[in-house]
Amino acid sequence: MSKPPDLFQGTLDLLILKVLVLEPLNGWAIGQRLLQVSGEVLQVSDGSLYPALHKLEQEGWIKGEWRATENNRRAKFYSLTRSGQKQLNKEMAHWDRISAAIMRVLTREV
Amino acid sequence: MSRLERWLRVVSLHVRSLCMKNRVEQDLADELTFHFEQEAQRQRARGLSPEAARAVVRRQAYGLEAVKDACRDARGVRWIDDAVSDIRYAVRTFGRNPGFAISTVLMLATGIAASTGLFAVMDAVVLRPFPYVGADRLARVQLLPPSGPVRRASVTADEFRALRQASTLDDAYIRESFTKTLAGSAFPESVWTESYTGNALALLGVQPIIGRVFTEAEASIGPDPPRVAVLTYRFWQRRFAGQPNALGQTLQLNDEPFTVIGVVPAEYSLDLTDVMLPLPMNVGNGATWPAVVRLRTGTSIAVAEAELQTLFEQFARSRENALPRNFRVRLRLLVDEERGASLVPVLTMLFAAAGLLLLIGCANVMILLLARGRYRVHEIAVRHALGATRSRIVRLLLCEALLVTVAATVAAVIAARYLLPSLLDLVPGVIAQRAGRSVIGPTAIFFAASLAAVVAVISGAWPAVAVSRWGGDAIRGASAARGSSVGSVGSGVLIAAQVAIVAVLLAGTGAAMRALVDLYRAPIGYDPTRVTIAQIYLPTNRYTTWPARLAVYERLRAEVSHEPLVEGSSISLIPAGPPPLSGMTTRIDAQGLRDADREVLTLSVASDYFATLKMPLARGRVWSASDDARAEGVTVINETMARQLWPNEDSIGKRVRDRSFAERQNPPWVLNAPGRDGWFEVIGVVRDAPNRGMREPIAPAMYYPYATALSDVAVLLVRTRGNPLAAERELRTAVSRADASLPIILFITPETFMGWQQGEFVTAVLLGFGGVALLLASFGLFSVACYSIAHRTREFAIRLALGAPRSTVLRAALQSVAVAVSLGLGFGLALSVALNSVLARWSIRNMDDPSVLAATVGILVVVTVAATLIPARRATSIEPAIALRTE
Repeated sequence: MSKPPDLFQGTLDLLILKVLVLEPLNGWAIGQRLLQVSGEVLQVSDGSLYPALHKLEQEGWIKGEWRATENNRRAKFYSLTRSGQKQLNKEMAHWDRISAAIMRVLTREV
Repeated sequence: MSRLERWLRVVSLHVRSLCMKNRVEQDLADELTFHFEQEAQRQRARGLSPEAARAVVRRQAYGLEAVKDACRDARGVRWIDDAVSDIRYAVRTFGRNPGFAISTVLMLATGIAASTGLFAVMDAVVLRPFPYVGADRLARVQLLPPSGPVRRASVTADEFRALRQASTLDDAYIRESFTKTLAGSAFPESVWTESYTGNALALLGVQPIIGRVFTEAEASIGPDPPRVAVLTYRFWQRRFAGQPNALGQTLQLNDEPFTVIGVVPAEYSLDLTDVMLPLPMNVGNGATWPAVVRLRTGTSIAVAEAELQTLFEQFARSRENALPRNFRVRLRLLVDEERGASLVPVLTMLFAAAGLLLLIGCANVMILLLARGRYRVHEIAVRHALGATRSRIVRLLLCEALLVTVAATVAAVIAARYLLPSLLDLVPGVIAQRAGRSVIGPTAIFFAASLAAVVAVISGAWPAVAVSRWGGDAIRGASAARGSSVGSVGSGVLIAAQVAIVAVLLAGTGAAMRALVDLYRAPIGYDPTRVTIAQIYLPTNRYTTWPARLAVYERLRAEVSHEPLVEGSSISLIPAGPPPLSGMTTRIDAQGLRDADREVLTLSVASDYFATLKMPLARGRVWSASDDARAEGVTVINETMARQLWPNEDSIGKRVRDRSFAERQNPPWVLNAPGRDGWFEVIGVVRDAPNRGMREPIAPAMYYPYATALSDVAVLLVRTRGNPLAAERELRTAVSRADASLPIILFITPETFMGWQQGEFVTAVLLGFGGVALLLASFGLFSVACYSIAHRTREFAIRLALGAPRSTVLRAALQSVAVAVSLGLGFGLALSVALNSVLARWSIRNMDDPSVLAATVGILVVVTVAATLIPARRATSIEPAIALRTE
């Protein structure tokens, strides 16, 4: 697939940060994890994933590090920084508000 | 903490992206390679053959390069990369075309240097005239009587103490200027001293460069402060050659020893101060001093005035008759007073002229960029075709303008920095005194940089947008001619604007020249040839009686008049001097006049004053030398006074009384002749001469024998046989024969005090600006004419081949330039006439003078013809066959 599913602006950032809470992951693994966790719904193209990772790194929310994988390949692993954790909390709260608001709109009897 | 950490990481990542570009690119490639390998592995695991898996991955890959690009963008340093490559490209372009680069840089640099230099002067004179702490809150206290002139509010020592406690004020201080005689070199030297209350220097934030300044603790208010002296940088250099061992040395000032305790920086030499001393305040004998106050931060003038009003009303009750009745207290800010000075309009005008020069430079750069852009249409079109966006191309073109501006600004700042001091040396006295502090410092450099930013936008934006559009048009197949015609309309507008600005500048220059000629021609009422004047100060503690003072003046006159080099000499007492210097404004009573209270100028002069200056007598006679010595009650009045007071009768024999004569009882400065009552009999009428400067109308004036009221400052007037300044040494020797301790200051010639020097200076600067402007504009005209002809060579060749006469072709070639020039000229003349009424308020007139305007038109027409001559010849010498083949 060449077109990423349309995510809300900034939603991908939120998902990446969330996925990295548990452990540092490389880019490919992040994509896989998102796919898995979302029940094969959210497939993020590399064309969206990597620019997002680089942007988050540049913002200082995640930190890239070259490490060996299980089968001894060199890969860039991203981990959450302290300010990234804060940003995640902020965005989660924001997301809760937004989704709650959307739900209200959608479920309201007209 | 974590914020700082994050910030540091972000910065280091930016730096890494910029500086270790290869490393970053390699990382990116590795990262994506890993991704695709993993993906391929996953596909294989799902059962696809390795080749098929890789093909899927390849299809999936959004486009490796596109992903990479998106990542680079995400790193947020892309624009820096682009800018760096734009600058590199622009530098290379200029390298290939150094003539273009140098001429544009020079055109802008001239204007920027002139503006920056004048800004530095304006900064020193107008914006920040005082180097003091809180300078914009310093104010003089004035008293406004219900009618009559404003008076300075002087306070006694006790009142000064009360004033300092006012709640709306930070503090108050007193500054008085005296000239004192410094003994100890070949001739006694006169130095400008400023006496301050002990608190003043700390209040004003005066910091010494060596030693210390006196403080309130050591120089408290009282009659006898310590005899310490703080030198200004100027005086320290002059007297002690800048040696630190000046500290602790003794200065003999008016026969009193002062110990040098410190030196303050050059900027405190305001008004040519040499030495700062503690002010002696005689407590309790009724002496008063004018005070300067500093308002508290945030206090409005009105609030402070209200408090001081109450305070001064209290003062008035305890000091009977010393203050005018029903006065109102007014605070006059020192900076406002300074900005109101006559120098400000002159500087503002020159600053505006420099700005116009810069505008002309900008217009030229725009013309050149547009003209060059036409040759670059193909290049731009190719860039478009290769995928460059419009904004990217505009940025590239803007970058070139920016580069030119930066180079020009650097050149201009360097030039201004090195030229300004030597140019200031050429500036005549009155301006130099104020402008001497100006330097190209951080403020001026900041100004130049801001100016450069504006210039870059002005001169770069339009050409960049226009040229990028032509490129876009070209690639879409639109006719290149369309873009060009837009461009030539643009150039036409620029030429018109330039011509208009030059016309205004030339009219202004012409007006200044006219004013100068008028000044030269103005009747000055005497013959200034080989006249020189010097001021003589009597030492404060000597010649304190009227006979002694008269004796020294008479001895002085005798010694000077016996010098072989002297053709004639006389003296007058300050403030009287030769015309147009003023006398003292006093009120007089006159017999038989209904309106007896009139203001006239009184001038104390010796009997040979009129003969020395060759001022012709209209009626009657002048008093004799023996009348001088007896302080005879006789007077010679000017024609204005005779006409105003006695319009229908003969003024000779009338009697007038100088009211201030009786009121004036303040030795040791002025000693009235014993037995005189201030009544004078008119014995002669002298022809009018300007007596309130060259620009003001002549005031009624009366001259009387100088011995009537002897002040301690005199003006020696000498007409020499040769060059007056060459006679300085002889004159000094003659004065020292009268009294070796008499200091003379300032031998000056009428060129200085007649205002000629200032007029000459302004005219010279404007002439320079006008000349450069003309040169720049003619260059602009030349390039536009050249281009419009080169561009239409093919058309002209066809016309010629079809039999058009060369004159028709010539007309077609120069028509657009001619239209632009005439429009510009018309607009410029209209603007000059319109500006005239605005500028007249600053006494800059004559811009609508027909002869000035005619000269402007003449010069511009000649320059236009000269600038277009070469291109025009090229147009008419086109060989159709050759031209058509080469196109």
